Amino acid sequence: MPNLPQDVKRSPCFHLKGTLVSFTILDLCHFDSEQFSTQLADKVKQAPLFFKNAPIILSLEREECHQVDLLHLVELCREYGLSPIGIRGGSTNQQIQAEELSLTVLPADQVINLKTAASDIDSAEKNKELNVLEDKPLNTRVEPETIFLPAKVVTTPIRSGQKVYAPCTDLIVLAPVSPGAEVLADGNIHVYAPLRGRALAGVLGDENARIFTTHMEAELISIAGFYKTSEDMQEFWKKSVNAMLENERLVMQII
Amino acid sequence: MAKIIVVTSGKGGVGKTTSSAAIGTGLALRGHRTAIVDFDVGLRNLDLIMGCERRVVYDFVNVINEEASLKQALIRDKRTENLYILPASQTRDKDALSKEGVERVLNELANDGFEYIVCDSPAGIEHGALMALYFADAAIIVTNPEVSSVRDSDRILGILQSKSRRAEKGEHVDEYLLLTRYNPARVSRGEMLGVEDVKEILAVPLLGVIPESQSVLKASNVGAPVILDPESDAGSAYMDAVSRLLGEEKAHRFINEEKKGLLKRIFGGKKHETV
Ligand SMILES: Nc1ncnc2c1ncn2[C@@H]1O[C@H](COP(=O)(O)OP(=O)(O)OP(=O)(O)O)[C@@H](O)[C@H]1O
Ligand SMILES: [Mg+2]
Repeated sequence: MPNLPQDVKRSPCFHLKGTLVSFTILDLCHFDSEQFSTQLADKVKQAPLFFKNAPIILSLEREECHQVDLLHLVELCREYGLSPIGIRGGSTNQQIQAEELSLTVLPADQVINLKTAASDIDSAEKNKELNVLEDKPLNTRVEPETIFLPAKVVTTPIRSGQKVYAPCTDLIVLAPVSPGAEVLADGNIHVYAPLRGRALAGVLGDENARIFTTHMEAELISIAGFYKTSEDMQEFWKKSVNAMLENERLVMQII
Repeated sequence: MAKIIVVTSGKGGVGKTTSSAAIGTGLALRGHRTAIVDFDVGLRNLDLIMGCERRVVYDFVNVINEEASLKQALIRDKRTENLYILPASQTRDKDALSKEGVERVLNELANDGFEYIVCDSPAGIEHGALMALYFADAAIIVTNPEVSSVRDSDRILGILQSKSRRAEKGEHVDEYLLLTRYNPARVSRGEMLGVEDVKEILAVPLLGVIPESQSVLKASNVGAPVILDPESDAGSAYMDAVSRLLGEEKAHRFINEEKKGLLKRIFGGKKHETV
C-alpha cells in the first residue's frame, strides 16, 4: 500500500453530487437505416459543434421501434460523432442489449418533466417526482424543452453606468443603450434602438450567439469573447447590423 | 399631495441652482405654494441666488438633527408670495443628510401644505446627490450642450431609475430635460451640440432651452432669480419651462440663431442679449 499521510487516508475518496445536466433525447419515430443516416448527417452538418460528442438518450418508447437492433443504432450514432449514453423505454430485448453495451436503461416514467413540476407546484405528482429526483439522481433527465427560459425584455433606456445581464437566455432591448452602459446575455442580444454602449453576447462561450441592432454605434461588441471596438465598425456605423462569429472572427452584416 | 422635483445633472456648474431658483420662483408666481430645498450642504449658494443669505439662521441640517424646527429654518421669500427657501448648512458635510432625516423633513413640508418641493442637488453622483433625488417624483435634468454634460446626465438618469425610492418600488420617476447655457450661434458653428442631438442621445422630453445670457449673471449679482426679469431671454425661457411643467403647451424658443434686422444690427438688440 502506498504511504499516504494519515489525514489524506481518512478523507473520503470521492463525493457524490446531485446535478441536473441537459441531454439531447433522440426520439425515434420509426427506423430505416438509410433514412436515419441521411437525416442525422443533415442535422450534424447544421450544428457540428453542438453534436460533437454530445451525450444523447435514445428514446425507444414507441411500439414501432421495439424491433430495432440497438447495436446498429448506436453504431450509426457514433459514426456521426454522437455519444449515446442510455436508452429510454424499449423492449425487454433492447434493454438486455443496452446492458450488454453498458448503456443506462431509463424506464420512461422516471423521466422528470420539470415543466409539469413547475406548473403544478402543489400537486402530489410533483412531490413524487421530486422524490424520484432525490432517490435516483442518476436516472433524472431534463429534456431540452424544459431548460428554455423566456428572453429578458427591457423597454426603458439603459443608461451610462448601468449593466443589464440576461443569464441563460436572450436579451431584447427596445430603448437606447447609452455610451458607458453594458448589456450582456448568455444568448443573443437584440437592440431595436441605438446601441451606443457595450454589448457582449454568448458570455458563457456560445459561439452561435449573435448581436442585432437597428443602429450600430457601439463602443464595443463581443461574442463568446471575440470582440470589435467602434474603431473597426466605421463601415457599419449607425446601420442596421447582424453580428456573428465566423471561424472565430467577429463579422458584421448590414440587414 | 406635494410633488417633489429634483433638479440634478451629475456634472457641476451647469446651472442647477440657477434653474432651481428660477423654476421654484416661477411655480410660486403661478400661485403654487413652493419650497426650494438646498441639498448642496457645505457649498450653499441657493440663498445667495435668492438674495436671502443674510436671513439664514438655521438650516436643513439643523432641522434633520432636530436642533431647530422646520418653521424656524424655512425662510419666507420677501419678493414672491407662496415661496419658501430651506438653506443648506455651510459648515457641515453631505453625510449629515440621513435618509430618515431627509424623509422626515420632506414629509413635514408636504403636511404643511406645500404643493411643490424643489430639491437643488449638488453635483456628482455621491451621497448628497443621491439624497436629493431619492424621494423625487419628477426630475429636471439640467444639461449643457456638450458631450461631457450629456454623458453625466445620462448617468444620473440611470441612477434615478434604479436607486430612487420610486425605482425601488417599481415606479417611474418623471424625467424632464432642461438644456441650459444654449448658444445657437455656437451650435450652428458646430462648437456645441444642438437641441436635437441632445434629445436624441438622452431620449427625455424637453422641458425647455435656456439661452446663455448676461441676464443670469446680472440676476445673481443682485440676488434675484432671473425669472423675475421677464424682459430677459433667460427669464422668459424659464417662465415657458414652468408653464410646460404645469402641463401647458408652449412652442420652444431661443433654439435658432436670431436673424437680426438691419436696424437691430446697427443699434444692437436690447431685449435678447446673447453672449
Ligand atoms: N443661462 C445661463 N447663461 C449664462 N450663465 C449661466 C446660465 N446658467 C447658469 N449660468 C452661470 O453658470 C454658473 C453655474 O451656475 P449654477 O451655480 O446655477 O450651476 P450649478 O449646476 O448649480 O453648479 P454646482 O454644480 O456647483 O452646484 C454661474 O456662474 C451661473 O451664473
Ligand atoms: Mg448648485
